[in-house]
Amino acid sequence: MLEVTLSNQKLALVDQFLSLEISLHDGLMLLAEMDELLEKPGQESYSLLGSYYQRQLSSLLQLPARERQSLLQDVSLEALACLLKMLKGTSTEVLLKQNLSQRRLRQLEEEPVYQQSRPPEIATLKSALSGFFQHLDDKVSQGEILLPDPDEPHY
Amino acid sequence: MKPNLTSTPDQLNLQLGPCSAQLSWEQAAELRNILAERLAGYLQNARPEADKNRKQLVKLQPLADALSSLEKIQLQEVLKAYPKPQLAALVRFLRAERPGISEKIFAQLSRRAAEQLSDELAQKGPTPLHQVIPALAALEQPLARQGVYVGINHKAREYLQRLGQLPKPALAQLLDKLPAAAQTRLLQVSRQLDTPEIESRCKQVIQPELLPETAKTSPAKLDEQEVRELMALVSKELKRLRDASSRSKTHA
Repeated sequence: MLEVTLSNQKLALVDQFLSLEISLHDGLMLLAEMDELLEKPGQESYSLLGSYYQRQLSSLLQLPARERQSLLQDVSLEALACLLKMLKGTSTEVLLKQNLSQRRLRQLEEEPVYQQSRPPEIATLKSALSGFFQHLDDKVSQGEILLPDPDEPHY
Repeated sequence: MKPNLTSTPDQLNLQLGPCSAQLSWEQAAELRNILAERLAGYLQNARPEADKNRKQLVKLQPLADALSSLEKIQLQEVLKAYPKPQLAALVRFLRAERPGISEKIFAQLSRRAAEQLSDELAQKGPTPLHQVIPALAALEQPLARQGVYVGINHKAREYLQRLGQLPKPALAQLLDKLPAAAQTRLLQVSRQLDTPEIESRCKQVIQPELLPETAKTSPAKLDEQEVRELMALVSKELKRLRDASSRSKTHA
């Protein structure tokens, strides 16, 4: 049986001979897809994804202005729409909006994901956000940015 | 490497790069449960370092408070001795928690230094607690040079000063009863907390051949826990001596 271990924002699937690492976001997507195939109710995997987005965005929004803006410019409109839907009703949603230009906010209003009343589907989250979180992980692992711990007080 | 899942009526195929695993539906459900449990544990687990840092902050806050009691000249001296790379983190903390003190610090800086510090503060994002901790701890030595001791160091210094007032034979007896390692540490603490009476007594008691070696190899400064442990040991030994002395008086 595969063993699952987690450390440093990576998930490792380990068997007798091999250990294969994937990002935390891919691990959460794997769980959500397994739930779909196993026909399990998806609340748990969806809620875990929500916690992950909340944590990553709270952390990202604490970065110095230049790094923060540079990262947010890399996020596609569809990905931003997904994030705003997933963070709806939280202080992070408000903070994220405050970090977007009026032009991008207007463009977001026209995004289909943003217009929907229901939350985004797993397949949409996967296609829209995997690339961005991979990019973020790469920047962290290359030492280009240091994501602050969102639970840690900041002054 | 992205995981890819496909399914047949009998099994679920998990493809991960060049590797693949065929799982029965039961095995897949078991893997799913493990995955969910581990992910939930990882995402919900509060970081123990954050708690440790919060406790450390409570201990260090008196150092920030001590800044407010300094005279202008003392504050200038503290700032001269304070490590410059830590200043931005210290000021960030003070601005948020002790705004009056941060203004006092700015007032003591030269115009150029104040401008540099303002630029640095504007460029940097918020300072995390783990960077504030060393910035506060760095105040301890410059404050001690101005005769300001806080927390355990304050208590330990007062205790050592009282010990220094003991009759010489009693103090000699106490030091003699301490293990050699504790004598050396007491010498270090007496230097650290500027209590010359105890320092000179320790030097008399410690075997001379050990003294140069310990002075070379021992760390320059004991941390709070080490000071606390040493004071507890000294206090215990002193109590033992007093009990023995009062017993012998009773018998006499």
